[in-house]
Amino acid sequence: MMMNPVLRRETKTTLRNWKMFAVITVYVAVVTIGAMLYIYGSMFRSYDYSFDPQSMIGMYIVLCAMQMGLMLLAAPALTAGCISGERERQTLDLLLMTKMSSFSIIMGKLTSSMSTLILLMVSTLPVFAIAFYFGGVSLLSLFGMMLYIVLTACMAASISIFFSCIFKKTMVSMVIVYLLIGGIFCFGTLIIALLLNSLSWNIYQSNANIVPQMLILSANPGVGFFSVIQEQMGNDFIGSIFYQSSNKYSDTITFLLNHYWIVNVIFDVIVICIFVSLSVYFINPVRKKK
Amino acid sequence: MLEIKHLFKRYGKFTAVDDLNLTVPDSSIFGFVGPNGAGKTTTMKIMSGLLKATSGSVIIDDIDVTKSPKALRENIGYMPDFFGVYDDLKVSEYMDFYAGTYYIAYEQRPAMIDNLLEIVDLSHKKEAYVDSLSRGMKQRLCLARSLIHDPKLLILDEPASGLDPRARVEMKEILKQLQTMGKTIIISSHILPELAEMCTEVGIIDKGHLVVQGSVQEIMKQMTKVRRIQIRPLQEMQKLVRLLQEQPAVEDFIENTFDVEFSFQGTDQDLAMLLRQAVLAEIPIASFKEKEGNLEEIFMQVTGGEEK
Repeated sequence: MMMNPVLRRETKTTLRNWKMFAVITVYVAVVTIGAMLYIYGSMFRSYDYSFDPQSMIGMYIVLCAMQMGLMLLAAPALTAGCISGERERQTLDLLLMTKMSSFSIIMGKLTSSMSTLILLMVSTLPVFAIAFYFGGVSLLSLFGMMLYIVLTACMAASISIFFSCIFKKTMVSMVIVYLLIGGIFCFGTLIIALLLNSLSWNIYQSNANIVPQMLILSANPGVGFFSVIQEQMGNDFIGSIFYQSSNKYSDTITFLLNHYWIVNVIFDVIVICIFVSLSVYFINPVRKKK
Repeated sequence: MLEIKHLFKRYGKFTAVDDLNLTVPDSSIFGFVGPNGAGKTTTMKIMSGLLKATSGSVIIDDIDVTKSPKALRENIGYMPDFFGVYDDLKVSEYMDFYAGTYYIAYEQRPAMIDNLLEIVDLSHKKEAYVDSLSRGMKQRLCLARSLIHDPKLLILDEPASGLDPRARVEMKEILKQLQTMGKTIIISSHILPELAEMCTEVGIIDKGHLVVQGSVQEIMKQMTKVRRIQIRPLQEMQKLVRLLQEQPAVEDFIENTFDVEFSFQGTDQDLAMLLRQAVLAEIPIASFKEKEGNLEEIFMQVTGGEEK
């Protein structure tokens, strides 16, 4: 089976470039500094300056949150220029003239960006190993969390590729993706959901219908992240957002609230499919126009 | 092989290609000439399936490009008027990448790449980074890239622009070699003399419209209303002058030190008769020729003198 030529070329040039090693070094350094600061902080908080192995679970959460945040920052940075960059280099027409379909070109770009992001994640695994040394976190939990982060990063990357197809300048597409994911998906949805909650609570003194909030927060990667943490550690983060405890919901709603990451995963998959399809459409030079 | 029928391309109110009709025979080198902004690149992009025409058809081997552009990708090699290279790749890797985009098997690629680099005389630069190549070399590499899938038709948009005279000569040699290999080549330029030497046929486009098409000689004949004849006698200059002055078809007579030049309004038969008369009058003729028209002048005449 032949490897996607775009993926093959991008992998070759990325790994040959010293910049990639610099990025990996900085990325691992940031995660390592985060872990060191956490350990340092947790040691000094204790009564006798001893080390509490229980705090390693906290460190795991902090490291995963850092990983998630860094991935959401790195995904647009890596992908927002993948099509506009070809356009700036004047190689896009040549690529579109080949036998490769628009879908193959987009998938080549997406997979090459994702492989770089996964490489960054894998390179931080030794830092995560500190948490394993003291126990409390299973390898399966880490694997599950990594999968969720990869999917979220893929969602961000697919949106970035779409804007890269639309806009000629890489910088414009990057700014728009950061605004969309950071401003709307992360903070916008949370603010709207909390406002709806508080309105419902003030008017009806209950929060009986939480479906709108659930739908809105499906776009929020942070809520999904804490849902995975809830799944792994057993805290009740999601319940506190929806004031779930004071109401009785149907079995389906209750199940989804307890495993809210499923809603986020469905949202991410739909967004990936939509934006990849749109990218395939917009990159096609002879697409039908009315 | 290639037939363009009533092709239009409009951008709002601006018409880039205006009812273009063109036929390019197999295994020919067709020169597509026109001033900047005449619609050459737009037409070539439509031919290559990179741009959608407003209306009309481009038929290559009985397939309409405007309806099924994907079907023709295997038969068309396109070289745009810019380099379009990945600077961070070596020459061989660059070629390998494009071989991959045409799904050519890994094992076939090394021999194919060596062969193409030999054609464009870049074998010695195989392991060099594309970034380190000169402009002429990059241009030749782009040409090799456009040949990677062995297309029947090559569409080359201003391949000689920005090249020094030596690189231009090399490019011409390569194109002639490709023609002998059976390729049909469509090559654009805004300089007619640049194409005159190598093209079997030329089409002059202006304001999106094909003004004239044919061989360079035919176009010159068509566009040159008055023929200029030059005769160089070995001796008897005055006898020749007298003979010419008696001819009603001779006008604008100029007597130079060693030859005479004049405009001739008659037919080829009249011209042959004139030569016969000179010979019978025992004037020793060393040279009797029709002066070629100035290609630049013809181009300016055809395109209304709007070349920038």
